[in-house]
Amino acid sequence: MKYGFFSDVHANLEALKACVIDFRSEKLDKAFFLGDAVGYGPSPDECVKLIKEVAAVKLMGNHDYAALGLMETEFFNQYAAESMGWTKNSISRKTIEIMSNFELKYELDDVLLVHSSPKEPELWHYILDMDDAKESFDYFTHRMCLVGHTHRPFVVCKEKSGEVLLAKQTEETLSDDRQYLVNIGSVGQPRDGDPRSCYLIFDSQARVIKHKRVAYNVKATQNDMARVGLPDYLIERLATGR
Amino acid sequence: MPELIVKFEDKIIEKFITEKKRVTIGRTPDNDIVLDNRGVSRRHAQIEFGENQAVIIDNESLNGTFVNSRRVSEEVLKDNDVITIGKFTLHFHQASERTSAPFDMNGTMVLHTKKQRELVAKDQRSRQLTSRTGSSLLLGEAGADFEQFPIDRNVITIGKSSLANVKAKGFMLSGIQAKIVNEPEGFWLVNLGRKGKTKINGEYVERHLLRNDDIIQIGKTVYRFIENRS
Repeated sequence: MKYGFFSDVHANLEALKACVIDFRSEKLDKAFFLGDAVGYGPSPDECVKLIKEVAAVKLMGNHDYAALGLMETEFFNQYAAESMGWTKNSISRKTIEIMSNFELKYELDDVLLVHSSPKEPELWHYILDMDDAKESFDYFTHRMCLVGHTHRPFVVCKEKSGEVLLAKQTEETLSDDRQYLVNIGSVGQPRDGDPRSCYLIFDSQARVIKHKRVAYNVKATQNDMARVGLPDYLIERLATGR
Repeated sequence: MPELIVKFEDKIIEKFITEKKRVTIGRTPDNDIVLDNRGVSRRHAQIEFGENQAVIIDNESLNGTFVNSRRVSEEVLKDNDVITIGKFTLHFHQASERTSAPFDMNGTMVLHTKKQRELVAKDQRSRQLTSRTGSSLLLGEAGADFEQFPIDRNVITIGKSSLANVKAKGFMLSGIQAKIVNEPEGFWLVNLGRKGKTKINGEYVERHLLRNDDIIQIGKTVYRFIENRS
C-alpha cells in the first residue's frame, strides 16, 4: 500500500489543493492527516472540508483544538493568537462539527501517528532538537512514529544499540533493526527554508519513506490573507518558508 | 419589564408583569403574588427590582424558597431561573414585552409536603457535594463512568475521544461532542459535534447557560449539573 501523510495545512487552500493533486499523481491508496487544519491561513472552512474528503484519518492539532475554544491562546505567539482570533470568528458550525471528530492519535499497523509528540500528545510538546527526539523514543514502541507540529521535516532513527541519529537523505528504507521518528513537514506553512509544501509518502511493501515537496501558488494564498486582514509577517513568511 | 409566570404542577395560573420596585409573595391576600397554600408562609418572600437586577429574599419562611432547586435566603435572579415556593413554581424572565392581563387564581390548593421534603433533601446533598469539592460539578448518572466530576477548570470537554475530559457513549457521537465553558455569567454547555446529540432536561440544545440541577444528556450518557454558589 502506498500511504500519504500530511499535516499543518493551516488554512492554506492553494497549498492543500496542490498536494491533493499530487496525491492523485502519486496514486496513493490512502491519505492521513496529522492535525492543524486551521490557524494562520485564510481558508479554514474550505481546507477542513477538503481534508475531510481526502483523509481516511484526521488528527487534532493544537490550532484545531484552540479553534474549538478548548484551550487558551496565551501560549501562542502574537501572530498565532491574532490569526486564531480571526479563525474562531470566521469558521462555520459545520467546520466545528468536523473538527470535533479529529482524533488525538492513530495506530496504522506498526506506525504511530500523532500531531505533536508521542509524549503526552494532548499537551502538544515540540520536538525541536536531538534531545527532544531522543526523549520521544521512550514514549512509543512502534517501528515508526510520525509527527508534524514544528513544520520542519526530519528523519531520526534509533539503533538497537540505543544510539539516536539524524538521517541525512530525504528518502529512507526502513530497517527492522531501527526505530524511526519522522516529522512529515507542513503543507501550508513550511519553515525549513523551502517554501514548497511538504508531505510524506510511505510504501508499506517496499518499506520506504520519502518526503515529497510540492510547489503551489504562494502569491494566491498571500493575496487571500491580505484580503481578510491577517498579519503581514504571516503573509511574508510563506514566500521564504521560514 | 421583568415577568414572573406562576405555575402550579406545570399549569400556568398567573403571568405577573410589574413596574413595582418590590413584589411580595405569600399566602395572605395583601401580597402582590398570592400563593394560597398552607405550605406557603404568610409573607414568604419578596423580589426587589433594582436598575439591572432582581433579587429574591426569603423572609425566613418555614418551608423555604428555592431557586433552581437550591434553597436560598437571598439570591440574584437570572433570566429563566425557576423559583419554587411550596408546590408553586415562579419562572423568572428578565424582560417581557407581553402586556396581557394576569389570570385570576381559582380555588384553594391542597398542601403536599412531599415535594418540599424532596427539595430540601436534594438541596442539602448539593451543598454537601459542592462544599467538599469547592467547585461546581457533574454527577454521573446513566452510562457515566464516574460519580462526581469537579468542574475545576475553564473548559471541560465531553465526548468519546480520548481527548475528552468526560467520556460519553452513543451512536454517531462526535469525539468532542460538547464543552462546558466557564464564562462571567456562569457555565455554558456548548454543542460542538453533530447536532441532535446534546440535550438539557430533555430538549436538544446548541448553547445553554447551565442552571443547578440541569440534566445533561450527551448521546446515551446522562449527567446532572450541580452549581457551586458558595
